[in-house]
Amino acid sequence: MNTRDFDSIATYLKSAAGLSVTQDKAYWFYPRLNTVLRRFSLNDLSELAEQVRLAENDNLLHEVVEAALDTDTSFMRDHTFFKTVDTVLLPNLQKRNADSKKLRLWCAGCSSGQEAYALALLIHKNAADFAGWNIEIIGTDLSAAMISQAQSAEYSQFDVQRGLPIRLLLDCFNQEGDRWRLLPEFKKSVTFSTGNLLADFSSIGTVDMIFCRNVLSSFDAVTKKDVLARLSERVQPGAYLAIGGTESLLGLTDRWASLPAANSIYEAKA
Amino acid sequence: MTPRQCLIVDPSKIIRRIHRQIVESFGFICREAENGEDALAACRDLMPNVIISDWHMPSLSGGDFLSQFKKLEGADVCPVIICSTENDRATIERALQAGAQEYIMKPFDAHIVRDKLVQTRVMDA
Repeated sequence: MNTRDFDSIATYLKSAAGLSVTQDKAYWFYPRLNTVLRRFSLNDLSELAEQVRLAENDNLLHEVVEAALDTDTSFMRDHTFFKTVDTVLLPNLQKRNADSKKLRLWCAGCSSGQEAYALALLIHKNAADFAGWNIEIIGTDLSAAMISQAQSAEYSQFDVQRGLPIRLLLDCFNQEGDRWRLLPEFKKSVTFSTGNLLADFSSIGTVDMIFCRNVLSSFDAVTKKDVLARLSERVQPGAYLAIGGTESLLGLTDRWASLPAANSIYEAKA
Repeated sequence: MTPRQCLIVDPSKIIRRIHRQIVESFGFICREAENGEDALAACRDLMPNVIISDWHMPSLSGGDFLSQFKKLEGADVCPVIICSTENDRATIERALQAGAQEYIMKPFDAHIVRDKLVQTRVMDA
């Protein structure tokens, strides 16, 4: 793609979704842009860039954003991380909220929902500790396609083998041919909706833990700082924020303290 | 730390090679067996740290292999992961009841194998 065309698309992605895409890193989404070309009967990426510049076709613009979103996820993508959630964070939150018996978890950038459902399964595993609690797991993502998939709670044979112990799969999913669907009782506490982290998300309310894993890295520093500042407003001191294993909050915010011996997990400062 | 041992049991040479490539890349030393009897002999020789085995095998089926394997010394700390094209709940339950710790449905990839090795605790996360 020539520089002018690339810049047009990159500028649009930045303004609509805060995504920071540089030409050297964009190779992975060219194949997805080709799908958009076919869907809108365009001949090449130059014509696509022109359509983006004209900004007349909302559907096309929406598809361009969807194509650029990194939607890779799996149930317990990071084994060590989920172990920490299970053995340290959930017990701490259980003690902290023992009076209110309320727990609100937010997966910001939830993609196809595996992380949110994995949390529901973790809480189910610790059902005795949370008996009678009001549990709310909220998943938001920019991609309508991902939210739709998340709401269906139906996954491929491939997806359900990533990070899910077989016993959990058998106990919590119904097999439908080659696909596996989460049983309704585990979906109860989970709701999904589309949402843009660049927009105001104060309607989410106060949450006890935010999972924003491998989302911030697609933003530039200015956007990261803004998103983090507004995420800080969704929590009380002692709440947790989890980011991706290779991400860092260094220099971006002073509202969160890193947890010793728990890489990528932070606690809201008083 | 001494490298861990994996025993791969499958009648198909191609499948055994695929498993070997994946598991060796995680630092394991791999041995192969074409069938259940050879696998039992290999375990008597040297009990591995983990076994990845097919379910439907000629002569000794996966289930029969498991019931004989369980009687061997050291078997209680060696998880067996069944890896099979059979992907129906009933077969999976049978395999788990026969003593398998985990189950991989084909087709699979290196990520899935890795996750199962971590879940059975033969590999660090």
